Amino acid sequence: MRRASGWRGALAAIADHGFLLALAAVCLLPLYVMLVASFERATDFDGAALLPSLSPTLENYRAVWTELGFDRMFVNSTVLSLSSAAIATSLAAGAAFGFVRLRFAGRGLLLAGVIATMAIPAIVVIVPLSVVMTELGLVDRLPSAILAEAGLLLPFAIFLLYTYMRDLPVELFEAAEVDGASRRRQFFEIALPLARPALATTFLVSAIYAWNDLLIPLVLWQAEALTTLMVGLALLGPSRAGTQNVPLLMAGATISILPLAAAFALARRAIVRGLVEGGER
Amino acid sequence: MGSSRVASGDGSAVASLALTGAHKVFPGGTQALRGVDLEVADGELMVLVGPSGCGKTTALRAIAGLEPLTAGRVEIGGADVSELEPAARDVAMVFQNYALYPNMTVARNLAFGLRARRVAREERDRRVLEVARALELEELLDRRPRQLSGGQRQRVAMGRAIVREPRAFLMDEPLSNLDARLRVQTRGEIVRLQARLGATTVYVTHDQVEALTMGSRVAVMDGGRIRQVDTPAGLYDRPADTFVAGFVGSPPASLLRGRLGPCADGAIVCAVGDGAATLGAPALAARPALRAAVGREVVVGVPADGFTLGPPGGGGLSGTVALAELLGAETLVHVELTDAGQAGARATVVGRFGRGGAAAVGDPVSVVLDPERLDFFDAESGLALERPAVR
Amino acid sequence: MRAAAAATARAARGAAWLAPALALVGLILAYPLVRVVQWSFTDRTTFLDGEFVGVANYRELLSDTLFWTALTNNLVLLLSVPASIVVALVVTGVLYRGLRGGRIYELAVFVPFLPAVASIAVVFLYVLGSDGPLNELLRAAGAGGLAQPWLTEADIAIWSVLGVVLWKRIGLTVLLFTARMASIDRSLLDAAAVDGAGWWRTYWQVAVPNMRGIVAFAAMLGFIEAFSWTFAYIVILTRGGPDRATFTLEYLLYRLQFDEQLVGLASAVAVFLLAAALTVAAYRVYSARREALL
Repeated sequence: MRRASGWRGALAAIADHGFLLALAAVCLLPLYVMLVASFERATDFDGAALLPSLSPTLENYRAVWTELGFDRMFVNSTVLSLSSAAIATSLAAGAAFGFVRLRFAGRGLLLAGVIATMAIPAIVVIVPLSVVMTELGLVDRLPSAILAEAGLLLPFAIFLLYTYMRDLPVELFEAAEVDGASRRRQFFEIALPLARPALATTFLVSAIYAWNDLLIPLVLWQAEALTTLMVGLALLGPSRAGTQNVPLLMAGATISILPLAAAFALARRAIVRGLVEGGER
Repeated sequence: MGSSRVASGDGSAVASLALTGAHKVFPGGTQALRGVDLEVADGELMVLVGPSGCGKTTALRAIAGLEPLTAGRVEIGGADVSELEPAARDVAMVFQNYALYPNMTVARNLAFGLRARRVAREERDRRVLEVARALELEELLDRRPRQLSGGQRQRVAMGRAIVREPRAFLMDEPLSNLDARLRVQTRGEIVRLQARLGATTVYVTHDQVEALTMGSRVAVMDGGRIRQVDTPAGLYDRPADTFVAGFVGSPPASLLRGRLGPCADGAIVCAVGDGAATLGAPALAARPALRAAVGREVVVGVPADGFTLGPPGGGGLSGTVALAELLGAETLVHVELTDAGQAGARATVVGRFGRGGAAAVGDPVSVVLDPERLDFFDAESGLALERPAVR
Repeated sequence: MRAAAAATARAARGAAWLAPALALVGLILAYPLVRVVQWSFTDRTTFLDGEFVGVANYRELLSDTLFWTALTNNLVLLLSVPASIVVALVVTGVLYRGLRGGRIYELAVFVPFLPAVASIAVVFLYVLGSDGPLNELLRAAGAGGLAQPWLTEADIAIWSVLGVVLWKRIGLTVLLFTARMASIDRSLLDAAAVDGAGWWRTYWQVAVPNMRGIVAFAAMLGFIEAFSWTFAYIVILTRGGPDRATFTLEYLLYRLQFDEQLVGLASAVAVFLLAAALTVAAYRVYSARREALL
């Protein structure tokens, strides 16, 4: 923007860089030590590894994957993340379209209700939710956590897609109506194709959220076969095995973070847009 | 557009339209339509014209079904369609901003309405190709709207309507986004197309020049009401009220304050400003309503070809030339009159004259009114005092 | 008559668009919400349906020191809100002063946001351990005296958790602020510069006032986190210890429900958290109305 010139400017620049560098270091160091520790041999490890090992190993990753069941957990996390995101996104698309195109009594109230429920955290409803799931006989069955997660994701998804669809030119839908298109056709041939960026963003943000969630799978998928990565880490971390074998734990943590890093690398713009959209409004 | 003949419906496909007692109040209280009655005959090109906010677009959308009426009826082909969805009314609409589907190619845009109505693929392709050929869109069939120019998009919008062979066409200022030259050119093409198709069309515009050159009949609207429905000549020669008089024409008539008084030989004299115009008995015979209005204040409409300029003191209204606009073969002269407007304020008459002979700015002149060309309106209601149709 | 029937049929078809989504929200959020409030007034447990006991649960909670400890801990974590906002504002100001490589710093600062709380908590379990990297670093830098049992000493533990929460939140806040900053009219800042204002004066007096909305949004997010999402941090970092010093309301709820099976009492805690959530919900609806979204 504006740079003071001469040595005053240089001094300011050094201060700026120094400050940001320190902050960046603080932000990156924990992940750095996580990675470093994950490649340490368990026998060489003595509590803290600040520098990369001279004889790194992939043993921790192998062990965590094949012996501690992280392979299964990875699959479970993926299933939970992708299905709940898919369900939430598709249901939200239909609802957003309905809110945008339909006029009916109580529409404003319903929309306000949806916006209000965005603020309801899982912890508040987890008690009756687990009871409901037990009564439905769904605890420890696939649908329970997936539906619960999707339900939690829906309000925000509807909000995102509604604000986006609302900005599509009304004339397009009016032209389609006069042309004889049914609402279904308007939805599939006009609304959805034009809402593609918002759909991608909604899906990604939802998938990330579901991937990261601890509480729902902890309560609703208690069977060992259904453990997700986050639940696995939560059980392993504070346990004896975790505290005694830090490299193993760090390998597990790294595995849980990798897909996010990949998603971010590939779709950074879509993800960031989703986060900022929630704030712009 | 192209020279090949576009398959028109066999005429039985098009229908008449009617709005009866149409009222539209928007939530929030705006009264867009205050009792509109309009009839459009089978195959006619009816233009709705008026300033922005007059309700013309609302009336069009009401016919399409996009705007449900608060009161009144919409009829298409004699049947009441007021409760029908737009999709069921079988009309086609061309939007001001074209409303082309951005994610579809031109071909799919054209075919959309046919697909929505489940027309068979062969028939669909045939019609799309035919219309594309007629509108010179063949080469553009695989392009997306964002790759087209304004004029091309406009043609696709028209094509999308034509290909459906609807009962009526509704056009909402389809030319207002084009540049002036293209607008004039396309205007003519639309008129020719409409004639060839024999399609019932309602055309909305705010440009009165466009309205007068296009429509077989024109409806002038203001404030949610129709002021007059007539042929273009009728609107110009016999305006029904002061609004129409002051709106139609290039330039429109000038409106002045006057008072009718009796005169010798059964004539009537109209005092305007510091001058007068006299209507003799023969002229009055054709305008009986004027007799009844003797003694009243009136608004006098002076068409641009309704007066001559003479030297000062020449027996007309005194005034000064305020502006002289050279239009090429003609000159528009604005003369400022003292004491001829509302409540004694200044007023201006604008006249059209041939080149040369017109006075220069600042010259004092005398405005000699031609009594036979004047229109008279009731000062309070603004409605015209009756006048026969003979000209 | 026909019109009315047609209108109802149309309404029914219209409902189909909203019904599935609303049904799921009803099942997962609305209905449980009603139940949780209802149960907070009973002495229900996992095994017994219990009966109505009025405000007994609330009275019990309010007289329990553990409840107050938990509430206090939530408030401590709430401090992350002003802290993160101030830091993020300063960072944004520095970034926008005109810096080469600003984007890299932005990216680096944003990194903590993506990983799950569970993943990152596990890492900090290691980092903040008595022999973990942080203490090692301090010792190596000669500041061994500063080394603490960050997570296992009662007085410090919750503040260590606050540090982790703050660490994780800074990136998102910076992202939000820089996004808003980018959309501020350049000419405002230029005008101030021409008027002779230095960068920081320009920033604090011209730019920041324009960021009120996004600051409020960031504050709202932080508030939600401090009263709804501390569970994962506590479960992994401290398990509520040492000696129940780091209980938060969410963790208390979890233990009451799943360890002690006291559904009614847990529901009462939930209602407290619900109150916090409702103020946020009201704010959300209010600002949506203001933005003419409704």
